[in-house]
This record gives sequence, structure tokens and C-alpha cells, in this order.
Amino acid sequence: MARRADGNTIMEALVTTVIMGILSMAFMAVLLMNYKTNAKLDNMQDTLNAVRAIKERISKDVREGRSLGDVYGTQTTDPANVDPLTGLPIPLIVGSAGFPSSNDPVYGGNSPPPQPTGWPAATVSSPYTLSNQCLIVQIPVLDDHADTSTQHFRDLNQLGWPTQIPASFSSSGIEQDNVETHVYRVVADPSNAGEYLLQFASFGGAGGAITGFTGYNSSVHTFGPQTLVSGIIGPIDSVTGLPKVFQFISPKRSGTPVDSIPNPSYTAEYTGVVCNLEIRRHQDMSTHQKNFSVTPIGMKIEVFLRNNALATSAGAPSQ
Amino acid sequence: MRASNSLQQTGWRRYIDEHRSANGISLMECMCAVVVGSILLYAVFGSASSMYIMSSGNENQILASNMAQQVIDNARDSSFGTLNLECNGSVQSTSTGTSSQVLSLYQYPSGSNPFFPRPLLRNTASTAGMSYSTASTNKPFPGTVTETLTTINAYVPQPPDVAISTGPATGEIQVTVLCQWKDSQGSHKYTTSTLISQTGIHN
Repeated sequence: MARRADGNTIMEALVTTVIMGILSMAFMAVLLMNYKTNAKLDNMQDTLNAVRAIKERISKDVREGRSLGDVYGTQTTDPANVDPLTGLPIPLIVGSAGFPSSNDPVYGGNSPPPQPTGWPAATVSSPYTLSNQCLIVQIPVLDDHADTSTQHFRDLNQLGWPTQIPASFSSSGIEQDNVETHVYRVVADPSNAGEYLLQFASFGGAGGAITGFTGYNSSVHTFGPQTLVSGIIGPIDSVTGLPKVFQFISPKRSGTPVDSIPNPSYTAEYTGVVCNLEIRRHQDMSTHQKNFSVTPIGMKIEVFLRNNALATSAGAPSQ
Repeated sequence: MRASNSLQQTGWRRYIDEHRSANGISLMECMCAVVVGSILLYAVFGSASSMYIMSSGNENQILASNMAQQVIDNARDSSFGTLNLECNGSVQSTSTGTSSQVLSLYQYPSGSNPFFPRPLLRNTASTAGMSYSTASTNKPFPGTVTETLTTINAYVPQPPDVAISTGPATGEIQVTVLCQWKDSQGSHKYTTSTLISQTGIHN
């Protein structure tokens, strides 16, 4: 079309507008596609980070763990093992699948654990119990003191030994390990239907007034719940329709994971935790960006207690 | 009119005006513009595509390291006798053999003495009583996981409950996990190992 000095006709303007419109639409489509791709990348990276974080968090806790459930249970004897010196069956403490157990010297009496916001109250009659939606791990309370002869002093460079609760404070009448209880729960996400949150709460062990080790402040170690990860969508239990996240393994009984401890007396034998996860994270900043969620990541974590076989605890220090 | 403008303008604008054609743009100019535009678009989408591929690669790397860690944890939770059985055929074998198994990622393993007794990545066995979304199950791990048991030092028969403080080395079995997978970036490997002793904490 020849260029003219008298300007453009209306037809030329219309044609130009149509062409520019088509080009603009194409350009906007490209921009939108780029935006979606970036959002998808963000969500994918978010999901990967969540998986990595939760894997490391739970693995660290379980490996440091003294027991699953509540280690303070009933004192009994093991008929299969006789003390060669006394000829008597070796005494042992049978754990509990629920926290707090009736023999818990810190929370089992008239001191129920603090109730985290939004969580059901845990009492001796209605404890938190090992299940697909609840994991209870107890961690030894370590002393940060050092003893030399009869002197007892605080040394921040010392990691110390696991501490004990003296027999005088123990319902079983014998010294017991002092542990801090970590509870993980899978709860429905109130903001996103069909999704679940993994939350964590800590319940402190016995403080200095009981153990004599003053370097541990129980109240500081009592907090929660904290949300560790959101966007859990499975795997879903075919019967209950709820996420089947936690399972438990007893290498002694069977290699097959169980959903709950079949007999509380067996609790101490369950030393493995399986954590089944299917996570699909989406950016928290905008609910609209759920549309750009990536393919979920389905995986499992399997980790075993390490401190149960190594626990050597220290009695009350010389003051 | 252009001439009068040219007199008033300087620099690149004047240059452009002097070289502007009254006949519009040529096909060659149009092609050049398209090529330049394509290169720019390729740069934009190429980087996004690369990031997407890298994220997928990261996912496989995380899954691989997680599976390897599970195998190591399971081996550490096993007794030396169990590993000796799997590696050399019996709990108290004094052989120095090596044995490997490719581990099952989604189902319980078949056969006797599986090195890892459960599905390694996702438990999708019908007996598990749980299900993952189709989106997850449609995305399998693009590779294999192999566990190898190697006897470094043969089992040393000892009376029970006697600590070994001197004498020959005690039995030691090395557990090695090798994860291999392929994706759009090529072939990848992740390997890790541990040593389990006859006098370890679980024996």
C-alpha cells in the first residue's frame, strides 16, 4: 500500500487495529504462559523444599528418640531373660502407645500436658495415641553440666548425658529416663478442603526441681502446635478416607508396618517409623495459584530409633 | 516534510529518518524481525524450560537420596546375622561373599530373604490399604535401586556374651546402595554405603 501524505483511511486504521489486536493477544498469551510456568516452578520448588524439610525433621527426631509412645509404662519382668547372678527374671518397663501414660511421672498424675490450640486435650484417660495421624517420639533430656568429684557445675561446652528422674519422683519406684515428648499430628487444613497439615508440639521433660540438673528448663521446651507442612493430600486410607501417614515397624515381630500398636505391651518393640506422604504444595500468597499446582510428590520415609539401644542415663548429680 | 524534519533532528533519529523507505518494509526486514523475535522468545522460554527440567531433576535426586537412606537405616537396624544370611547364605557363615538385589519400589518383594522387606518408594500394594493420587502413581521413579552386601571381614565365631577386645578383626559387612536413573538431562547415579560390624550395637 503506497504511503500517502493525506493520512490514513478508516479502513487502514481498522486493519491496523485488528492486526495489533491479534499480535497483542499472542503476546499476552505468551506472557500468561510464562507467568503460569513460573508459578508452577515456584510450587514445584516449594513442594520439594517441603518434602526435604519434613524428611529431615522427622528423621532427626526419630533417630534421637528414646521410644515411640510413652516410655513410662508398667514395670514388669521378662520371663525369657533371667539374671544369671540372682536367678530372678530381669525387670523391665513396658511402654505405652499413648501419651501421657498412667505412670508418666511428669504428666501422668494431676498434671495433664498443656493443650495446644486447636488440639484435643490429652489426659491419662484420653491420651494422644500412636496412629496413622499421630506420631509420639520421646527424646532424652540431656544435661549440660559437668561433674568433677563432688562438684557440680554448668559447662556450656558439655553436651552431657541423658538424665534420669529419681526413684522418689517415679511412680514405679525406680529411677526412670527423663524424656521430652514430641507429638506430630496430621489435622485437616481449615483453609483448604481435602488438604491436611502436619503439626508439631513439644512437651518438656522433668526440670531441675525434680532431676537436680538445673540446665534444662522444661517450660521453654513446651510449645506448639507449629505447622510443619501444608498441602498433604494423601495417601488416603481406603477405609477411613483419612491420610495414612504414620505406620510403625517392629523388626522383631514382622517387617510389615502396622497402623497402630496392637498390644501396648509391645510398644517398646516398635522401633521403626514409616511416614507415607503425598504432598502438593501451592503458594500461600494467593489462593488462585492453586490452579498452577504441580504434580504431587508421593514418597515414604522410613527411619528407626537409635537411642533406645544406647540409652545410658545419669542419676541425680552431687549438689 | 521529511527533509525539513531532518534538518531539525540529529543523531540516530535523523539517521533512521534518512534511511526510512517510502515503500514500507521489505520481506527481508520482516524475516529479520521474526528471527530476532524468535531468538528472544526462545531465550525467555528456554530458561523457563531449563528451570522446569532442573526442578524435575532435583525431585529425582531427593527421592534417590531418601531411598538410599532408608536402605542404610534398615541395614543398621538389622543384626549382623541377618546380613550374613543374606550375603553368605547362613547366619554364622564364615564365607566372604558378595550379594546384590534390585529393590522393589512399589510392591512387597517376592522371594526369600529380601534385602529390604518393604516397598522402597511408595507402598502401593493392595494389602497396604491406602492409595495415592493418579498423578503420583503416573510418575514413576525413572530408574532402579540396587543394594549390595560385601563381606569385608568374615564372621568370627565367638562364645555368646563375650566382648571381643583383642584378636582378629570381627566380621564386617559393607552395605552399598546404588540409585541409577535417567531423565531428560542424562544418566544419574547416587551411591552411599555403611559398614555393619559383628560387634555392633544391634548384635
